[in-house]
Amino acid sequence: MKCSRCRRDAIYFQRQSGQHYCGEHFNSYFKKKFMRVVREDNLIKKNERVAVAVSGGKDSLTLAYLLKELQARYPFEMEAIIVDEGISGYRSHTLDAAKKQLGELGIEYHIESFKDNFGKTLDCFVKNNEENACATCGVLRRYVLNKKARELSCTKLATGHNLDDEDQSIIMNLMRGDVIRFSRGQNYYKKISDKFVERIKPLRYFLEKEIVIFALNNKLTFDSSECPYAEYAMRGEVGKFLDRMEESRPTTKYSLLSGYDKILPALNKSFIPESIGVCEICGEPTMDGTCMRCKILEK
Amino acid sequence: MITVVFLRGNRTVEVDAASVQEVSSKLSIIREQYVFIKNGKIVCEDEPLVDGDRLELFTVASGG
Repeated sequence: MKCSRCRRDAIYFQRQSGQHYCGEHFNSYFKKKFMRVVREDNLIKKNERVAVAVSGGKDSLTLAYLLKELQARYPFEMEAIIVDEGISGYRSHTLDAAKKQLGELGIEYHIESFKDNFGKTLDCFVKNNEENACATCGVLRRYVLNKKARELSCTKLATGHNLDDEDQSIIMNLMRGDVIRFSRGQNYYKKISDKFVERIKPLRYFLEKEIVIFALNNKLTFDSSECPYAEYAMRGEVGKFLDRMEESRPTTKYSLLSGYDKILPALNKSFIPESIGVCEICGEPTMDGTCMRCKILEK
Repeated sequence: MITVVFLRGNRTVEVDAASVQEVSSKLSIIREQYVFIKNGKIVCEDEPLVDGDRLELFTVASGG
């Protein structure tokens, strides 16, 4: 198959637009869209300090790569935070990929481990309770990222969440009946407490598949393995359902996020308080008396 | 015959097919879940295949 814009071999067929892209035109499409998202959503202000959360996978390293390119055209500061949760047989090689790619990009990075922050690894936290691994990891990782970004005086925390991640979260929150999480949206943390560094997700309008193609096409070093705890997660099942829907009904994934974004202001208004309290143990923001992190650490 | 290699898990199967779509259909795989690499180059889902081609399947989902 040939590119719709030139006669070179195509590497990607975008079903929603009916366009075939060669490597060069795919890059051009991807980068233009990224720049448009950053500009139109006003994600990064001039001279702002941005922390980028890097796992070593294709999403976060694609994000770091694109932010580095953006830096050449627009003045802002950037440092990366890598979280080492302590997952044997997995995290060490994702860390290697992160360090190698960030080194090549010339991005300074900081490694924060669960062991140093909480006294033990994720493997220890969830021993004989593996089905809770993702929930535990999510709470502790968000805490570490926020704390380190704050220490670095960053005013934005950029994560590599993609369109598939966003859609999966929408469905999962609905299926769990978790109205609060369902109603938060991406501006929640900024709105709810000044102790939260504002989070931005510049890749949230990109299909996960497009990000893989971008990372491969640009020969980025990244780890493509799956976390050993992923098999216990609901996310994988929801992801497969959405993949099947997208295959039979192209644009399903875009429509879901777009519809959600439209109703979000109303959800926000109905279910999200103007402010929240602080944890009686650690003083971090929480809706309950004790925050989830402290509840996990107390166990 | 097309040599189809699932890169995650390093599993190889032989399939008689004339396109990536036909491989997907015969192996009952969801195309959204893979990037297809023919003889070392990324290709589209509608790419034709000929006898002797090697098609690698790169799994899209990774991480947690």
